[in-house]
Amino acid sequence: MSTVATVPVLAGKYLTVVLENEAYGIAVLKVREIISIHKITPVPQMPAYVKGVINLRGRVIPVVDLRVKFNLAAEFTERTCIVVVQLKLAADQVVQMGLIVDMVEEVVTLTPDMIEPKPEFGTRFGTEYILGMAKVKGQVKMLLDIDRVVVAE
Amino acid sequence: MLHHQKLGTKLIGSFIIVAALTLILGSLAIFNMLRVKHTSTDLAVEIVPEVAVANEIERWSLKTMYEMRGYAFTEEAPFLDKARANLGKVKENLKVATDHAEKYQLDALRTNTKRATEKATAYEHLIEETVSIIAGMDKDKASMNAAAAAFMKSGKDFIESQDQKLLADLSLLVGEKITEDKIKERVKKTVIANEIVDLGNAVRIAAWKSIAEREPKGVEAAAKKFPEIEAKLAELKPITHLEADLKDLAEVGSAADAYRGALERFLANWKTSEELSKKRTATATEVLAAAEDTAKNGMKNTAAAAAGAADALASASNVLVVGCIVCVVLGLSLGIVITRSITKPIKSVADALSAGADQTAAAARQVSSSSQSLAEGSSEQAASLEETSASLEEISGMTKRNAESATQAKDLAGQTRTAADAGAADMEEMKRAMDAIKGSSDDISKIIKTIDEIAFQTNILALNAAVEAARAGEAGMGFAVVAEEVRNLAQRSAQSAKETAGKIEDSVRKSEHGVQICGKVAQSLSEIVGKARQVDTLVAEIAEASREQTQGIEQVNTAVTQMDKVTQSNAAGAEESAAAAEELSAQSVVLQESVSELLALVDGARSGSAMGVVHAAPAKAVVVKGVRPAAGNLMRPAVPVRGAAPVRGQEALSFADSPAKLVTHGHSAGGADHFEN
Repeated sequence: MSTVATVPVLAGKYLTVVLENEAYGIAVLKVREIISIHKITPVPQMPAYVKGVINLRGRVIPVVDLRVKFNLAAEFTERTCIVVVQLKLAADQVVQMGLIVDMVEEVVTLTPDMIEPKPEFGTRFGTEYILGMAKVKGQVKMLLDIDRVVVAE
Repeated sequence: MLHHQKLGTKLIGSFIIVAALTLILGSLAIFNMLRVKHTSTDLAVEIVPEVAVANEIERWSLKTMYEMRGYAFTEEAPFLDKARANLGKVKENLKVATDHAEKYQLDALRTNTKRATEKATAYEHLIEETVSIIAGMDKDKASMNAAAAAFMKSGKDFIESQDQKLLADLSLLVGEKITEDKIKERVKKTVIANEIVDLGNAVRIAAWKSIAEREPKGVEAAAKKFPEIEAKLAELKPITHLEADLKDLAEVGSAADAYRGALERFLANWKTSEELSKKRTATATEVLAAAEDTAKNGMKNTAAAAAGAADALASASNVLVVGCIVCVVLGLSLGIVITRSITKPIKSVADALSAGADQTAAAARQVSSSSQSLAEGSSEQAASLEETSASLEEISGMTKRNAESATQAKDLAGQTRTAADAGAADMEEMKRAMDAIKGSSDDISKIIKTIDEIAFQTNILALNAAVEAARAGEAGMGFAVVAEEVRNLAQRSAQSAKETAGKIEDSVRKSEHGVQICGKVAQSLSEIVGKARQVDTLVAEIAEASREQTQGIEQVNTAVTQMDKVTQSNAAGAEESAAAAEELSAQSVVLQESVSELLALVDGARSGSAMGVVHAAPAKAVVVKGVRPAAGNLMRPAVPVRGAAPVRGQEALSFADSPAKLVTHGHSAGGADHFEN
């Protein structure tokens, strides 16, 4: 799929979240719910970024710490929230998963002119889960391909 | 060790050592002499009398033997008497010997004397036996002679009768009235009778010869002739017919028998006498042997005693010689050591004394100059004392003012302290108020936090609503607007809460600062209170000190008065010092002379130089000159020094030579003039 062709597709509403003072955009249609931090039950023999599971109104869903995933030090604040997303792992497999973020900002509507394709760093590493770059009020926000972020490995 | 003793101890110790050595030596000599004396006494009292008595016994024993032998040979009574007398002497001497042995417990002498005494007694018995035997022998001889006379007479009678008969027969023969055989028979009878008589004579001759020769065998040989006589008599008997003749023959026979018996008895007695003689000799020999033993023993003891005495004398003389040498050597070495140990310290003492005398002279000069400066100092001191007295009056006034000021200061300090205490109490209240403000601020903070929390939740809810609205697409557009508004409200609420929280925090911080300042003020106030108390105490002390000072100044006044007196007596002391310095100089001269004498005594005349006698004289003049005017300056009318000065001066003069005396008098007089002026 070519970069040029995807830009218009990327336009739409995004929920922006903050990790270490950087803002990231998650497509609103992927988001199921935003909750404040819950008690997390740890699960043994999981990768470090999988913090465990939470009980969300009777449903048990896994929780991933995006800070750990993005190689930042794990840190909880008053503003820490869990964004519950709906992932499409395979063609017909849809799961819900909690993402721990520093804080949620707002829901923004991105027009195609606000979106830039993801930069080419001359290497394939580290850019698979970035859909593109959004320019909002003079800031650059990375649009995350949330499906890939979680199942990249 | 010798160095640490007293001189007297050293001398007495050495003499005691020498005396002890002499005593030991003398004791040894006396001991040896006593031993020799004892030996000599033994010799004189025991051994010599022992030998002497042994010799006496031997001599008298020999004499006794000699006399007895004479008696045995001659059978004469004087020999016997002498022998008995000699034996008595022997016994006397034996008794003496026994007593001597008992007296000195001489075992050898006792044994020998006992033996000799026994033998002497035995010898006495033997003498008695010998006397009786010899008497028996005399009796035998007498009976022998009687028997021989009877024999001869009967024989002769028989022969004479036969001769008469023969003559008668011969006359008959002429008449042939008788036969020739008868005559022959008659002749035969005569012959036989003559033979018998001859035999008897032969026997007697043999017996006497034997006695004369003292040979018993002759008697034995003679005795063998008796059977021959008997045979002849038997031959004669048958042919004899006449009664008278037969009677003669029988008498001859009985006489011959009697002789024979006497002869045999004599022989027996003789043999006994011979044996007795041998026994006597043996007994006497034993007595002699005992005496000789004693004498030999005595001589041996004498020789031993003499040798012992000689040895003892030799060893005594050796000991004396060695002891004399030891005593002389020891005495000399002790003398040398002690003389050295005495003279060395004395010499060093004399040297030290000499140096001391020099130093004393120098010191005397220093004392005189010191006395001078002391006198000057005393006058200055008197002037200073006047000033001091005036100053003290001023000080007294100032001190009183000080005391008053101190009392006022004390009151002020008390007021200060009260004020500071009140301030401290107010500060406490203020602090409590601040703490209350701080507590209220904390409560407000909590409320604002809750508001913030609610805003946060509202924001999340708004976002969820926005998400839901987005998912609803066109249908949710209106809802999205509402959600946006809600979110905006939430954010404003959060913003206001944040600002309020900031204000409150600022207020809290400021009130904390106020509390801190309040604490500092309280501390300062308490310090002020403390200082005010200290000031109070100090001011009280100052007031007390001022009072004491006033007293002290009074005391100082008294002291100054005393010092005035002391200054005067100092002046007098300076006088005395001057005089004493003079005395000191003179005595140092005397000391130096004494040291010279001592050195002369120790070293002989060789170091008897007049050392250091020179130094003293100049000092005197300086001393007297220096002190007198200075003392005069200080003198006040009632001071005793004026009177004392000349007296001291004169005392000093007794040691000084005449020029110095003149000088002293001059200055004394000058001093007195000065006072009166």
